Amino acid sequence: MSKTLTIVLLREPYASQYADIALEIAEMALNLGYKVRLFLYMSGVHAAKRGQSPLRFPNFERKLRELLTRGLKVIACGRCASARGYIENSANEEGNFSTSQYVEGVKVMSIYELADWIKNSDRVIMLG
Amino acid sequence: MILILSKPPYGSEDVISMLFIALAAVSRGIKTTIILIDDGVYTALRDQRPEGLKYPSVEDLIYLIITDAEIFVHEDSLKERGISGEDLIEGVNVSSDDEIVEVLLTKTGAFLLC
Repeated sequence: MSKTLTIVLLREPYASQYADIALEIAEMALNLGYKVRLFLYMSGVHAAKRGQSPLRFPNFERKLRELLTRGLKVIACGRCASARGYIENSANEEGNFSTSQYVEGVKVMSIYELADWIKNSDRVIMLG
Repeated sequence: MILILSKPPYGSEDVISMLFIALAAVSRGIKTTIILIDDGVYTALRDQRPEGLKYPSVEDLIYLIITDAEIFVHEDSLKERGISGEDLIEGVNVSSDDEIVEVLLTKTGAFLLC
């Protein structure tokens, strides 16, 4: 059975390299056959914003989309996303908050999802 | 799970947000250890009154967590800041360098640093 890696990202892209490093680690782990999950926490929730267009930095969104198609699971913290103006509706029955501002495939859920991920991971890395 | 908190509890959301992770973790039955070091030791102070800051009280969060999590406070960090063990929330463990190392070597699971 494949091992599971959870990465917790605390900072937004472009302000530091943490976000890029998170995806580099995620890509490498996917290559090695890991199940990989990325939890966006605190300012890390900005990372899932759609329409990113950096002029001179690697495009985080493009890489995120690529890894989502390769099976990367991504959840953004609902409390953090709400604080930053991303949440447009209250949570549905599954506990998902909805936002049109994020890349498709990124879920917005509560911190308890992170606790469940931590509980079921072989390794947890926090960046930021 | 081990959480190491080295930042001060107010002025940024870092410590509060890490304590929310601890709260969620203990509610999911994850054995949780919190180590407070450097400015993180202020988190364990008793009788905090952050009302003027309009931040949530980290002391209240500690009370929610302390029955299910072990909390270690770095002794030398307290000394450097002139804080005595009597100033701290009841139930936290004041620990020497050696004792903190022992905690790090014996606890297993996720290791989160902020």
